[in-house]
Amino acid sequence: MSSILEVNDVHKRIRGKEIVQGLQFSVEPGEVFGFLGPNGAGKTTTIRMMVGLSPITSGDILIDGHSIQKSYAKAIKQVGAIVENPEMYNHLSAEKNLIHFARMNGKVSHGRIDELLDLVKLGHVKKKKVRTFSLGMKQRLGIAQALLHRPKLLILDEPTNGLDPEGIRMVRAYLRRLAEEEGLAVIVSSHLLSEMELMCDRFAIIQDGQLINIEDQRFSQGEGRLLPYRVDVGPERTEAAVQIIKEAYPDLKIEEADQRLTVYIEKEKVPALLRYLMETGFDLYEAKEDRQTLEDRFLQATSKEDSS
Amino acid sequence: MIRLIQNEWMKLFWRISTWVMAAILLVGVVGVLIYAATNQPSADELPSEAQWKAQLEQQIVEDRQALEDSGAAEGFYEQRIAENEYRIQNDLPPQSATGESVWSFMSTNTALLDLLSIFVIIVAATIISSEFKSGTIKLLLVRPPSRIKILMSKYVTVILYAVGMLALLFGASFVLGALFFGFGEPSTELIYTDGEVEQRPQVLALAIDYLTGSVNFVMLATLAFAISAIFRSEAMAIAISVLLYVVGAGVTSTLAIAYNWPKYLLFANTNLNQYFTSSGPPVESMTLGFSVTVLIVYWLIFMGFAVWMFKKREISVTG
Repeated sequence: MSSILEVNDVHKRIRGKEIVQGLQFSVEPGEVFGFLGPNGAGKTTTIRMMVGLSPITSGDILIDGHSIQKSYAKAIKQVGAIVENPEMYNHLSAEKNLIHFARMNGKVSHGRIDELLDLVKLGHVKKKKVRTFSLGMKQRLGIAQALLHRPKLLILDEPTNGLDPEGIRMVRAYLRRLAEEEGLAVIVSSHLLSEMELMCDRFAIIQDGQLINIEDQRFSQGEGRLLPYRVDVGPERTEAAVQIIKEAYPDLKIEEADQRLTVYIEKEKVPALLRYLMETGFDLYEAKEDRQTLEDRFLQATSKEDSS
Repeated sequence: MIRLIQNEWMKLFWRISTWVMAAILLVGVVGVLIYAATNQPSADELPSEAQWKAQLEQQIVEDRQALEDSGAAEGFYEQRIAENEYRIQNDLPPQSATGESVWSFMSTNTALLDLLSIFVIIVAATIISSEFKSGTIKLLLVRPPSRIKILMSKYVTVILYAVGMLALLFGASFVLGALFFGFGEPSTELIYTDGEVEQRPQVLALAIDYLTGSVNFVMLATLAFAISAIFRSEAMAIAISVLLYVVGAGVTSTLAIAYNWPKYLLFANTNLNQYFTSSGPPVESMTLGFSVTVLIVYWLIFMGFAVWMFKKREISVTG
């Protein structure tokens, strides 16, 4: 399948300062792509270039094969976006806001507008002015607005900003469903790392306008990969357990810290290892995959850059 | 394009300030009505032909006296003497002898064109800058229609609003005037140029007033629109446009006393009415054709600037 978004060696210079330096990545249909980076890394600038709000200094961005610079109308047609905050017309009702944006993409279908209002659970307040809405309601209306014209690429800047946990869960579930069922490509930028981890398939981590890493969550959970498992057999017997494991599994990498041990092992071999430990007389208090959080990886990736 | 204009219209329509402006304009018309109705002499109080002729002759004598005494305001007295003599010779009663009619009422209401101009300037100045202020400009521009089309739809909406307000002023004046004063006998307006007096039917004078008034605020609205596209700040756009509107004409006519070049200034030309009334243009060499040409050039410059700035600029709200 061809990429829905291609970012080719994009640079952005503002007043002599290079804010984005040669970004290069692509996003495929059906995936949720996270866009991570510390404040001021160039995330929002990049998103603004993707939607044509900000001119590209050099390089190009293709959406569904159309250059945002050369064939703007064709490219932007495939995009639904919220850039920064979901600002709506406060003096118009929710429904009128959607009519407004629908008109900009051609014919207005009232059926489609009602469908989206119901989807983001704003159907009951559609005649109310947006002024009276909470931030979460505005955020949801923003998503409805972005989806109106059935785009192939959804670009959301901080989509869970200002949402309560229930709202976050709803947005997350909905974005995943759109990606999986309708093959929509979704780009999400956020500083809430744990949130991104639950939502995204892949991440680009950028810092100082450069791409430092692209991580694929799907591969990191794949088969045959060594995962760290933390095993707790009680502080006083940790050392003995290390010896016993080394006898049976001489190839395994074992770490010992804080009187607890961590084994790097394939997932399928975990039950056998645990059975072996119990049979050799150890009490097993806990055994758990020691997943590195996205936050750890993010900090690792961004700090590596600092030291180099 | 039609859909974009529908959008702009919808946004304008649902703004409270739009209705407040229309209401203030109506209050203005009603105010003029109350004033005119309470000061209107009843039919038997109106002077007879002999009476008003005597009054005018009295006035002429006084004016001649004033001219001899001081010599100040020479032009004013000469004009009034000439006009009064013309009225006596041609049996044309002055306004005070015919009483109020719908025509004279509408003529008085042209003064409200100033108010209307300020409202149109406010709408023109905010129609772009308000999108920047609220941040909605981003959602507006992340759509297939080009920036030029969006800009043009906004301009057309401003003009539609101006036409709507003009229709309101015109319509309300006509209906209220007809109801309260009847159609009566349209009086005759006198034009005094170079010592010659000409007459013009009041209805024609009225049409010229409204038409030239429209040209005036269309130009000002275009200026405000360009300023709005350039500065992107509501307060700035309104302040600069209204300021120019209030002081522009005064400064221009002051400069025009001493120099010739002010004739190329915008405000020397916006009031096309000057070619149809006694006052005449601020600089003598100016003609109607000259002013129209200058206005067209200014219009092109304003629109060109607005398009250029709106097209090229980086759209940032938070900086």
